[in-house]
Amino acid sequence: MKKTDRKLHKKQVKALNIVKKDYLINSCEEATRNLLVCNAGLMTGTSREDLLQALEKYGKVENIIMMPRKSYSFVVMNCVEDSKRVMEELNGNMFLDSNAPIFFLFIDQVPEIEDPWGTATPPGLQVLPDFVSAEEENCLLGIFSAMFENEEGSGGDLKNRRVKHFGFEFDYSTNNIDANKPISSRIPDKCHDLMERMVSMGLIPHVGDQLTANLYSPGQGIPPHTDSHSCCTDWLCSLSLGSSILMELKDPQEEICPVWLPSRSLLVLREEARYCWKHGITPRHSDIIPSCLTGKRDAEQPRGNELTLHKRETRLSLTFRKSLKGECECKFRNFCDRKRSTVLDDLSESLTLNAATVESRMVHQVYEEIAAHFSETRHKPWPRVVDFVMSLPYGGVLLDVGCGNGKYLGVRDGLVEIGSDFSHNLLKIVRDRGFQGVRSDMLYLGFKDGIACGIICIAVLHHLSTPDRRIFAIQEMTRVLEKGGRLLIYVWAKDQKKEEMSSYLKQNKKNFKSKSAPESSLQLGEFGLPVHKNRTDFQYQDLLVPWKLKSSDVSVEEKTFNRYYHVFQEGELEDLISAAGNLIVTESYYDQGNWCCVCKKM
Amino acid sequence: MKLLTHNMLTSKAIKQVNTGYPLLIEARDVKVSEVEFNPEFIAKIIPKVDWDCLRRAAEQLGHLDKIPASVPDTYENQQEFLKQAHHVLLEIELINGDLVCPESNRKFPVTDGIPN
Repeated sequence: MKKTDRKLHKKQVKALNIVKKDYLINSCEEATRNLLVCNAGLMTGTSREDLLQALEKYGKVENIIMMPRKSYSFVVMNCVEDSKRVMEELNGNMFLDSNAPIFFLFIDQVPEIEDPWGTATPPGLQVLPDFVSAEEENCLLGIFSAMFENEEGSGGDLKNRRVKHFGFEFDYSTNNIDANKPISSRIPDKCHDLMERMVSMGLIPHVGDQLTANLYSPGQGIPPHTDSHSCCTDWLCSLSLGSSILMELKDPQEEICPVWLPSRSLLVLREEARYCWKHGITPRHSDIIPSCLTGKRDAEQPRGNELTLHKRETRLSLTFRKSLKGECECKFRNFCDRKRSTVLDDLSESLTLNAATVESRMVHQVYEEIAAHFSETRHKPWPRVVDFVMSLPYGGVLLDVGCGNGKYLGVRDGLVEIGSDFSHNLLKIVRDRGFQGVRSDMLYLGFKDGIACGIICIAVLHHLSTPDRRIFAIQEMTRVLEKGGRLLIYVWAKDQKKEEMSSYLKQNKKNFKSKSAPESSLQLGEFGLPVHKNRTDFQYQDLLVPWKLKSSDVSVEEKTFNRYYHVFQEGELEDLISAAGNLIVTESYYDQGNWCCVCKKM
Repeated sequence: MKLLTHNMLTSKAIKQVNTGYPLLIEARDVKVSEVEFNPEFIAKIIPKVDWDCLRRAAEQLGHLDKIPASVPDTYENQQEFLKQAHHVLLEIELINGDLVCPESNRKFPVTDGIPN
């Protein structure tokens, strides 16, 4: 084999092994009708139509099988010749807007998949077939086409579909409704009845006050969008009349979930489907679907998985909403458009309720993952911390709470030194360096009362998510101190510019400009916490700070982990210490972007 | 985990535990190594050590013979005693095993020298 062929072959084998973890298939040397398509699947954002369009140039496609969360697909060609042609022309090439070349493999068989069309739907989505009778459908079609003819109701011809609004206008440029500006067009009585029906069936909690009628001619569609959170309450209902159609839902990772909307069916979107997923209709004249969805069955293929073309006719969709006055109160904060101050007001409540979980996911787990890389970047002990350690009496016990990689252990002789940390992986580094490490929670230190003459807690307390927990940790450390023992605490300061410029900010050349940078747009991460932009000023006190994990293995992708921090205001640490009790602050200063306190146990 | 470290550990943090000390040791792997002997240092730390706990720990690790029954009054000057104390406190290490809370019987594993 040529060198390029060998490389190709290697990649094919690698791809095959991924699939073999999920399905029992084998590749074939000889050509078969069945193809495994690697790097093209629902997870890569490829739709069946995309794949069909690309492949049908080379032959007739009998079936396409795509599974959710997979980056590969199975294709069955009508005959072996067609399959060979696809392999020759497309194997190893980039197409379908892909980032990576797409590989094909002949396989012995296509696996039996219960739901080959991956019709598993996002949470909160429901399709209720036969929501209206054929008579009702005709009646409604009659009413609305008359309106479109006479131009009744507001709304005009958009580039694509023809639209009419009732109750309030739905603005497609912002995907929003102005609940303070009702329009004169009233929702027709027949539609009111439909909403009553939805309520009585328990689909929605109350009737809506806004209706948008969309008239789609074959070939028209609507781009993927999420109705903005503040435009309406937590539900959306859409009745499909006239032609059936394939709608596509897209999750936040852009994975596609196709949903078949038969005519006379009602689509209900709530929860994630309403707040987090996008929905849209690709402008096309027909949809490719398994024949079973159309209700037709072929005698030869009773399962109805074979593909069939469904031509689109004129479709009328009636979308019902209840306008929202005031702020959205959904639980999907990451996706919400509510005002910033509301986000932060709710944050302290959320942190109090979720404190342990936030710390577990956004501190403990992260440090376990980044331990090795983190240790590499933590080798220079800060001089003033070293000074503190040097000032401890000979033969005393020094406890480093949150010791990390043990940077401050072994700085001098004549002390009994123990490092305590929550991370296994960091403690291994401590042990490998020859020091004593103990795995302990700083809220429940596993040490006796009064044994330590000195405790250091450097850059750790700011990982606790509530003031109570921070005070508790200080009290624990006080308990372990002997009477007269001393404690040094360092925490990250919110104000990074106290000395000329902390080394943290220095790392970003942009910060040297005298004009302060414009406030960057708010990005929300896990638990609704603001995500900080590294090497800029802190804009919030509770936030997530990204860590870019660099691996020594170049082929491993760079991953980013968010770490939770509470950065401190001036004087905040002193307040915590006095609230903890039994300690007096003997020294208080600002060092390297941190607020620092030395205290003594009374 | 050296016995000096073990001497300071407690399971008091668990609810319904009053003292949580001393922690019993169920040893699987014990290592003995050589650590530089510094008599002044040992003399300084002796007062902080709970001697009964140390004895029991040494016994559970199978090294009872190496440790004196109690601390003599003039220990600072007794080289032999200091040497023995040094050996027990700093040269015997539990690598794998469990620490057991004396009240609740809850086990805390020691893995690769690190107690959890």
